[in-house]
Amino acid sequence: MAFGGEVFVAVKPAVALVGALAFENEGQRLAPACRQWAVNEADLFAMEHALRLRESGRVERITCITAAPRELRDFLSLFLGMGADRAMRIVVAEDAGLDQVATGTLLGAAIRRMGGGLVLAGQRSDDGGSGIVPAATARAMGAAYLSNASIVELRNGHVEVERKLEAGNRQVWGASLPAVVAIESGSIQPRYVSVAGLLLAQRRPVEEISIDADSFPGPAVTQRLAVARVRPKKTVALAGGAAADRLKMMMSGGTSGKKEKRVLKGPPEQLAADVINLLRERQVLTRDGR
Amino acid sequence: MHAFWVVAEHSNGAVDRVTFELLGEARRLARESGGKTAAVLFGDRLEALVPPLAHYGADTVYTFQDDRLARYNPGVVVASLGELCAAQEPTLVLFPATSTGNDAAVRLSMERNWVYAARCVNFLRKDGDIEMVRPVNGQKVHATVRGQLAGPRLATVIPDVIGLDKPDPKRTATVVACTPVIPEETDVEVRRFIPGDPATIDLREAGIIVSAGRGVGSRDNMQLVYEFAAAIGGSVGGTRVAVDLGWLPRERQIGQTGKTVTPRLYIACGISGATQHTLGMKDSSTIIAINTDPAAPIFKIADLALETDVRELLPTLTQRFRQETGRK
Repeated sequence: MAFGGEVFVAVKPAVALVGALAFENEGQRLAPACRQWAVNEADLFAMEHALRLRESGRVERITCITAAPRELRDFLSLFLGMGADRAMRIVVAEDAGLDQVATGTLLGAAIRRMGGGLVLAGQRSDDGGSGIVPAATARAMGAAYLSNASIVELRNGHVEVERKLEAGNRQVWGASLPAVVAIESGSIQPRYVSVAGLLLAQRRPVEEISIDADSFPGPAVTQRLAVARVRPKKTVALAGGAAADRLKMMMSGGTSGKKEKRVLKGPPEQLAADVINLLRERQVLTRDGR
Repeated sequence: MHAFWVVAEHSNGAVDRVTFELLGEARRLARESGGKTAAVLFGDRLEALVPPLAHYGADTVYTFQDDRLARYNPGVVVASLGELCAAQEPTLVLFPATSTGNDAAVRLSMERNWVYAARCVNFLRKDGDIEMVRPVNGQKVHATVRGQLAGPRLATVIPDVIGLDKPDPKRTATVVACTPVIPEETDVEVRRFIPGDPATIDLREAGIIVSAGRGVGSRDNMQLVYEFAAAIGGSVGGTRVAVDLGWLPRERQIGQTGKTVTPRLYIACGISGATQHTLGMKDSSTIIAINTDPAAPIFKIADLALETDVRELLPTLTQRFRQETGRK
């Protein structure tokens, strides 16, 4: 596919908690009093990568696109202030109840209609944190999906990413366009937007588009919300102790439960053997030490 | 019959600890519903990985062995796993919530239109189905997710939340060798793997941290810490005192004014355990503390407390770990 020089940054508003937790609709969603819309910080990293691609001459135009209610008027201003060339909103009703798959499908359908070749998105949102939206966007576009990207290179209609794995390891993937790249949070420092820049950005127009959502599949899941309760870890053994200590253990998610500790004294050879035995027992030490 | 599967992860010839945690959870669900457990293994050399999976609860181990699977290959893994799941119809497939597990699970979900819940912490059986519990909104809220589509439920599980069961070395598993499905066309090309160097990686990514405090004694003695870290394959960090004394660079500081770390192993060398430090490391999976003071606060959060002089113990530990790991 020929790359038209435009990169799309898929952004989504995140829900931030304020005040005491409350739920409505039999726990299906947070009560309005305890939530407010906020910028999804994960998307700022995607935006910064898009800006760096434009600065290197690899792309010509950056378009931010979101699926959000009209009430969130200033939501895209931050991205315009950072340097986006245009902002687009797929208008959805606030009570539309889009799940992550539907949101991604909506974004993908819109970008596909505009002939988008490269899409950058945050790997996981700050509120839901599932990482489904970029994958669903890729599916709707019929595009390659590249996840956990910390470095993005674009050359001749091909994208190459360096993926961040565990323990400092990296893996390099490549794909032809169209492609959706999910950007790992913390992979780059997003630029600061001055208050003046933000105020100017708020005056810029946001294009609105509509997508026929009737043909989209219904929600894949239903969910019931409740105040989080920490699940005690199996390794915690409550060997007696004061009630206060047990309560502290429950509240801290198990860390205080390590009071079954063993304090050992002895010659270094014996202590070294004890350390190795513990690490083997806990599957921490493997044959080559990793 | 219900079947609860775990897609195993392994590195450097050993099964990753998180896989054993997931097997424990699969076993619990199977026990409660009268079902069976299975592990699914992808890789190029798998024989040695089967027994530990059985010890931790796998009734069956499906193996996909191929040179092209030496590293995670999304096209092959998703095509092979999709075919196997479609044929065997497991109730629930668990993946570790790692970069690999998250990627494989969401791809499979998109390709097959199966229900997927990310970063779960618990599973409940209700009305013949599985409900998946996952933290949202900064872990202050738990969402209990129930699927509305047919097909297996897919879930990733956050490592180190569930904990380990005791292994049973007498358990065995039925091994089913499967042929990997190699798609004719894949949209993602896996190009190369770049191994991380524990000496230079960000402490927040490190799996093993050897941390130094005032008890190390001097800048010269830091060599003992570095040698031990190299032998165990760990990264070196330290307290604010160690940084202020110039023994370590600022980016290696752990604690309230430094970095917050959650490695699977944290070895505190000569660290008393002031709150300012423990705030940055208390959630480590396993903590070993070495200190001469039996009343050191670090001993309260340690899994293993060694009351000895770190300068005497470290050379012996280094030597033993070199023998164990083959590192220099």
